[in-house]
Amino acid sequence: MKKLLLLFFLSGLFSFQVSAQLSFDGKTVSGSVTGLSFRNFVKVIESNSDYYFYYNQTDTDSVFVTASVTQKSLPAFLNQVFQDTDLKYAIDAQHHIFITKDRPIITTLPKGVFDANRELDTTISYDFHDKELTARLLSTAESKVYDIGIKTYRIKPGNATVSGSVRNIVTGEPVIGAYITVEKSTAGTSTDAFGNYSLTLPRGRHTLRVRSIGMRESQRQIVLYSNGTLNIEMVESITALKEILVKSDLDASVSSNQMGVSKLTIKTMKQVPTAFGETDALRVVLTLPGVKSVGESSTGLNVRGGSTDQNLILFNDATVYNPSHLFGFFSAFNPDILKEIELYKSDIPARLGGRLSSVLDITTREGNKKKFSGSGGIGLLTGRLTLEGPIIKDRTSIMVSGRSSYSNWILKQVTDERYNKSRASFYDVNVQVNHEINQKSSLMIMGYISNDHFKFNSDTTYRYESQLASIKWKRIFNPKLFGTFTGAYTRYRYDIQGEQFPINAYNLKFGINQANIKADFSYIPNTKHTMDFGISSIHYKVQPGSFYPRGEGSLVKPELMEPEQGVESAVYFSERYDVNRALAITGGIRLSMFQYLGPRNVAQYAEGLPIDKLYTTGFRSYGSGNVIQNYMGPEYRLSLRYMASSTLSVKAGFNTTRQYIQMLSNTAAISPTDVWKLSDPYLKPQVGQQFSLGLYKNLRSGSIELSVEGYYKHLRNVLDYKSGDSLILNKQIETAVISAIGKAYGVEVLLKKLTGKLNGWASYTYSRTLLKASDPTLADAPNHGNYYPANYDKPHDFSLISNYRVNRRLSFSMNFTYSTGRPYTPPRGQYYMDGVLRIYYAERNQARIPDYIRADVGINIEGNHKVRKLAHSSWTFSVYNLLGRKNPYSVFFLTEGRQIKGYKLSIFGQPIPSITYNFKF
Amino acid sequence: MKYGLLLFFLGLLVAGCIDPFKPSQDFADGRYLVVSGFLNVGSDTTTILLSRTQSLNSLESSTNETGARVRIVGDKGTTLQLNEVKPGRYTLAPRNYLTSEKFSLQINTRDGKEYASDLVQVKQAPAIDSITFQADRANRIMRFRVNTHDPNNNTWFYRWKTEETWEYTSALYSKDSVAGGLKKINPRVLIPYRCWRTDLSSKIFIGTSAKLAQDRIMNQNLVLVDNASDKLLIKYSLLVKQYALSQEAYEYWDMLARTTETTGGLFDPQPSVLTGNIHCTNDASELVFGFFSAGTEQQKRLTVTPYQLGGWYPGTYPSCSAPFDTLDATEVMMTSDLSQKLIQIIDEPGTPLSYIMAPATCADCRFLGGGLKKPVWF
Repeated sequence: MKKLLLLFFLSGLFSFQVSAQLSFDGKTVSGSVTGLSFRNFVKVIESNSDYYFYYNQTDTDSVFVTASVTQKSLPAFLNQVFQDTDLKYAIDAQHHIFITKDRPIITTLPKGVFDANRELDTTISYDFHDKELTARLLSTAESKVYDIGIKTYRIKPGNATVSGSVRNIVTGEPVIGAYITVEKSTAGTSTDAFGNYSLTLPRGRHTLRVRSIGMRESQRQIVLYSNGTLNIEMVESITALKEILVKSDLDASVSSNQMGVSKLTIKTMKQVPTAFGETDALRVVLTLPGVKSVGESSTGLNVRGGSTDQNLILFNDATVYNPSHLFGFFSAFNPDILKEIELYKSDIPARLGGRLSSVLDITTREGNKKKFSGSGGIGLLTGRLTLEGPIIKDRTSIMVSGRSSYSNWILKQVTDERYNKSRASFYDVNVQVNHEINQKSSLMIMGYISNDHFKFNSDTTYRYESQLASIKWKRIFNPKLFGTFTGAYTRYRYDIQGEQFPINAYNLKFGINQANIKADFSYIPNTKHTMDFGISSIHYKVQPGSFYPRGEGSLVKPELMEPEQGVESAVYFSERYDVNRALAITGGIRLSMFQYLGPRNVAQYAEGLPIDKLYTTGFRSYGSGNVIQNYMGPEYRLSLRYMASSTLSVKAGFNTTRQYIQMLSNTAAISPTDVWKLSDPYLKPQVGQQFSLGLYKNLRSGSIELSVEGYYKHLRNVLDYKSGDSLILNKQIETAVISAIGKAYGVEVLLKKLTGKLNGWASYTYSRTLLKASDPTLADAPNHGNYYPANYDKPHDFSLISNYRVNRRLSFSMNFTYSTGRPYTPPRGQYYMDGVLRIYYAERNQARIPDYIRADVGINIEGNHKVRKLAHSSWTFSVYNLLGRKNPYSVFFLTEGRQIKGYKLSIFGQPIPSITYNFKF
Repeated sequence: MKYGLLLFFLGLLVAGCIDPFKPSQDFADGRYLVVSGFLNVGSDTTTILLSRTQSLNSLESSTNETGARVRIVGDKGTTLQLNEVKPGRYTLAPRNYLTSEKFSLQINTRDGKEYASDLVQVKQAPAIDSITFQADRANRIMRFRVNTHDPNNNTWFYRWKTEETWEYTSALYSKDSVAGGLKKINPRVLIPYRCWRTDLSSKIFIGTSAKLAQDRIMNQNLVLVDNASDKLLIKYSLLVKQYALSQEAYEYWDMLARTTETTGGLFDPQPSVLTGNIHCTNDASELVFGFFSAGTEQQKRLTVTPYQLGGWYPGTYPSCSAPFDTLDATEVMMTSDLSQKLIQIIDEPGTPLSYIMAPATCADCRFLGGGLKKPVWF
């Protein structure tokens, strides 16, 4: 290349030798010349006139004049000379000739330029950029200055509003929640659910910075003349290594109004090494402060001292009852279609409710509206594939994704007879259509099905099935009011088939159906106020259990539990008021109602005696649709943000929540036969109250973010269980449960580094969760009616998630987790009963299993980063539990002969390596 | 089923494991009264055993509660005093009872405390229909099962206790013993080659037909005989005792089995303090362990020899892997019959007598827990 340049340069030198046979008479050019250098040409002109050239030697050294003309005007001759070059010229009244690249210099001022109110004269194009609008490269868009509103020569004082939409340049999808900030100002906003934004600024020149998770940061220079629009297109960060880690709200943690909210994008999740190589959304959520689980094989989340059923998990607005496959070893969501996960653990927006502890809002991305594309991955146990593309270009897209395990063939290879008749398989399929009706409304329709099928020791078959569907219509009524209308349907059921012996072969089934409708509105009268309001209603129908004989020889007595149904409705209103730049207040109220409906026979108990089967006096029968029980109560959502400086804010919140459906489970983990139960005359709705206070600080110009949040929570009517009562097929479940009250408190510290080669986060949580029976005098009250630690009470918890980017193609990631062991009930003594040694236990949860320590590492290798190529691929190698530490999941005690032996059970007793190949086309 | 699931993950996917665990803290506390036994309203003696709880892994076999006053009190006027026949063992001779009467157990201990059980109904056990066995070849286990039914559809809840008795031999035969002190070799009076051992069930066997349309128990698994135990090699006998339970008693034994036999698995319920239906009347918060019930007992015995097992390979004959000793006449007198057994005397012309000695564990079947007395019914 260098040699070529040199040659080129030399040839230029030699052509300098060609003598000019060109003449200029002051007006016209005549003569014939071949290969005259530009410099010599200038000499010819200048020596014969008062024309004077201004040019850049390096721009013109490759220009050679070859012409044969007679009396051609200078401008015409210059046109001819520059015909195939990007050089332009301008001649002013003083005969100065300016040679410039790309665009000529304008040598006159427009008329009326000193009159501020006069509209711009557009007969001469002073803005060369107008000609380049077709060039859609973002770098151009970034360097360009956009004029917003009606251009005036002078900028009037006062404010004006710029609004518009932010979209993905490739897929045309709106970018929701993109942050638009103004350089050298604290003003900023974020895009709404349609990707629209509106920003009121002083008129004049500004630089807008646009940031969104997973998108390449972009900026726009604007001159704001008056109200106007600016649509912004963003490029997805394909190589993305810079943007990979949690942008949990970006610098919004400091400036946003909410607290206790974490946002994870799929790119973050992909970075975290997992046990079987597949990206697991829920496992990443577990690394956030304040989120715990009882053990390794459970994806049940315990958020700020709540039990696992107190989290509302929404998948595109449809409620999810079983968020995992294979009892928690895999999450139920295909990572390729996920867009982001938002976890609300304290300031739950008023539009969401129905669970006590948290809302986990999982959204999928829209299918590609521009072109057909696909992605997928192949791991050791599972494979997945997603295909997407436009139905109507730029308006309608479809996305179909599927995932399946292929562990059965491995099981068949096992020679041990105990296992090779075992089967374990699962799949999930998601179909989604997004349609843009017009600029102001859009429609999303989604269907999802997940299925698990296991068979162990060839006698018991477990089947789990979730079906979700949702439809969502978003509409902008006017720039100040928009609405979202959602309908969703969830069906979850399981079916357990026992066929060890024909005589007692059985089918045990459980099912729950839920239909939701809701309408949510946002009204933004001005930049200081944002109002949200809406209504929602959920109809639940639960089939609490059926037990049927299986096969002709079975003597099993059919048992069918009475189904139950109820309607949960809510209306809400909340308003955010930005008092001034520093202070913002959000206040909301959600009024929720629950009606427990017939037909049903409700057991009645003797008054003044404990609710026990012994004291059943009879059953009261209710007709279909009759209201058996009504519950109603307000939920308050209050929060306050005060910006002490541009990098430091203080937030406080008070939240109450109510819950009308609960999972019954007396095991430590989510078990195969857990059932959901609606609130009824005996099981009162669960009520929670949370006070929280947080401090947020940006360090090193926003590259490091530190937050400290504290909370105190009070829970009422949560459930605990009497010892040994069966929860399955129990027609009087109220006799098996104990109503408990709980208190939970904690401090969460989070340190995040968002940029740089090394990024990630570290979190530390100190928290306690204690429960006690509501009625301490009850005979079954655990621990004599005093407070005892909940199963998931783990006071100390530390997580480190880090990623080191060596270059654009190679990155290393490392996790480290430490937590206090969860409590268990220790054995206290022993005795002989019928000649056999038995153990008796201490009060509930008085000892702890050993601490949990785990480190994982991963390496991501991306293919090359040519944007246009057939398929992009990447390899992920990971080692889960690198230290090979046998972290106990549980401890238990067995009588062996005359000895009581303690054992600890670890799920992952050694390092688990895995390899996954991912592709995208 | 539960452990199958567990094993599946442990063995296959993740190489997880179960390791010994010792709590870092001792939670021992006081000694509480333990009551076991039931009121036998049939033709057998009623036996109530009283003992005290111990700290974990205590080496005491049992801490008997002696000198207590134990009574059976009925709700229709019956009061019967039990006699302490051995320390902690209180008995009552069989007599006729009103089956409609409800009974309670009342105890006064020497430390001045009074205990009483709830009133319990008399439950008549139906007869056992059969005891069967089926081989589980995959796991190399012989399963012994019970079948029963109540024609009156009135029992629904069952409990079984088992007594296994089997015959076995030691690996080697020793017909003479060395009486070292007397410097003599005597033929044995009792040759410790063939033994009979009886084991009581260490598990709680319960079953219910409550979820069936008929009060019938079919193929309820009781004892599982592992092939490696060699119990079936010569002759094996299983005595099954059947009791009818109330629902509360069933729930108690079920819970006791669950808290002491299976806890800590992935899906097992949390253990909790389980006491029973006996309370301390002086101090309601004091723990008392045991469940008092009243009823009859039904028995059935099944005895099997290997040829009845239908091609089942019953085990391996015992062998001695320890080395033998060859001793001369003076050396042999130094040995003790407790540690070494004489199995052969080599008396060849021209050479001095030599004695082949084997470790006692190879030539005395009593080391394997049995006795030399053949049960009369065996």
